[in-house]
Amino acid sequence: MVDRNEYYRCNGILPLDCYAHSLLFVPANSIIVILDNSRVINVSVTNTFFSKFMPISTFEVFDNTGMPYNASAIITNGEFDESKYLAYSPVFLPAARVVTIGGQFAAFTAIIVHTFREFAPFSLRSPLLMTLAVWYRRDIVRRFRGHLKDEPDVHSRLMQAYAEVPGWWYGLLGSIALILLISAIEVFPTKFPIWAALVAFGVGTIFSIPIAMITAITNQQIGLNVMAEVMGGYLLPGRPVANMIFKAVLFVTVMQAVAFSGQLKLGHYMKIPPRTMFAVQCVAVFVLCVVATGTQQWMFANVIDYCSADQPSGFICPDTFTFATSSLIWGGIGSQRTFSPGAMYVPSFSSHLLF
Amino acid sequence: MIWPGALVNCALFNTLHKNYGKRDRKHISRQKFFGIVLLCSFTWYWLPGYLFTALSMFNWICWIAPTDPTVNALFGTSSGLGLGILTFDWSMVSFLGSPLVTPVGYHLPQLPGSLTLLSI
Repeated sequence: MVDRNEYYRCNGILPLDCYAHSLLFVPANSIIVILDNSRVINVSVTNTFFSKFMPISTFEVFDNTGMPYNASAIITNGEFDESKYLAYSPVFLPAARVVTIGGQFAAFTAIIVHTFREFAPFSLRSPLLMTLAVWYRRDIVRRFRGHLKDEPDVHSRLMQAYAEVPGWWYGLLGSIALILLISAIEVFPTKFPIWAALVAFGVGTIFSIPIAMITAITNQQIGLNVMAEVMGGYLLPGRPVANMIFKAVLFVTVMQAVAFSGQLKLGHYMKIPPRTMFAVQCVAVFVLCVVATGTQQWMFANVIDYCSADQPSGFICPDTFTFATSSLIWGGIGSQRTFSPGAMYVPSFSSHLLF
Repeated sequence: MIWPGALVNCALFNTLHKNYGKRDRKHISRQKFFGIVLLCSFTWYWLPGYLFTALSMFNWICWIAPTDPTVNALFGTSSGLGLGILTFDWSMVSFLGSPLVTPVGYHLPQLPGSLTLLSI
């Protein structure tokens, strides 16, 4: 019953993809898969980045004594405290994490090259890129301008019986959501400026196109979370909460856009009128917001020791914990101290030059 | 762009609705089969999910040498490279979304990568 290849994928050879949704499944990049795997072992065996003192592949990051990094030790009132950081320790990443982050940097540039290559400056059009790149640009432009009538397949012909959703419905819904987002970050003390929200939203919008295309072809989603953390770390240094919101806005924009287009495609295949699909999605999102927030509030109020490490029923929230710690680390210590020239992990950052 | 994820749902809906209201001969009805499979999967999940969680990560190599760091780095699942691991838990296999959905053309490039790593 279990597909053998797949079985290796998730539980065997490549546990780092399972953790980080890395680039390893971009079509035509199989060579990178090989490189990446041997690099984990290389990094580990040669003790690059001091990785011999840590487990080879784990979620945690470490301090200079080999203990898990205590992120709250460098924070005062929700802001990064440089004197505490200098007194405590720089951050050390395990081998698999270093390679995964390098992979995500590579994926980030790879998907731009992959989809929008024709916009790249002339100097980037080397023969190597020519062989790596698949040109989707014309396809994207054609789809934006095109109409259902131009599509020859049976689904599109059948779907022409129904009225399309007008573009301004999406525009209106998007504006309402954006206004809600801006008022939320202004009402609560997030130290998150409005321009950063717009940047995150814009970057997310641009990246949803290539990522949705890759999902539509391969059913693999490329995670942008590390990229979002690092980008947020550069834009808003020393502000962990703001970094967390930046990451959430960028990441969720992409994920929701991709999921939404996938569901519209399901409606397309099952011959559900587009306007009904739109209405169903709106109602579902509204219900979900109320239910999810309500459940969360109820759990915070009623579950004893919720999200502490020794919660009796196992509500230890590892996901949320990692989300918060990595924001503390990238947003607090900041990308500057980790990936900029002069810092330890420059080689990891430069792996995006592969493309 | 065909959205493999949507195709799976389409296949399920089509299969369940094809003979809706009609009586099937020579085999049990589609709805009944679906119900039985659902019930079996629900029942099975109690075993790896609650009663015997070691089935999820059946890490028998690490059980031979639980204190050896090299063995744990190579074969461990939580903090190692996880070579040659076995699992009886579908939720572990479909950790990143169900593998049966992804087209085989995008599985195959992973094979040389895996084999190269094994030979190192």
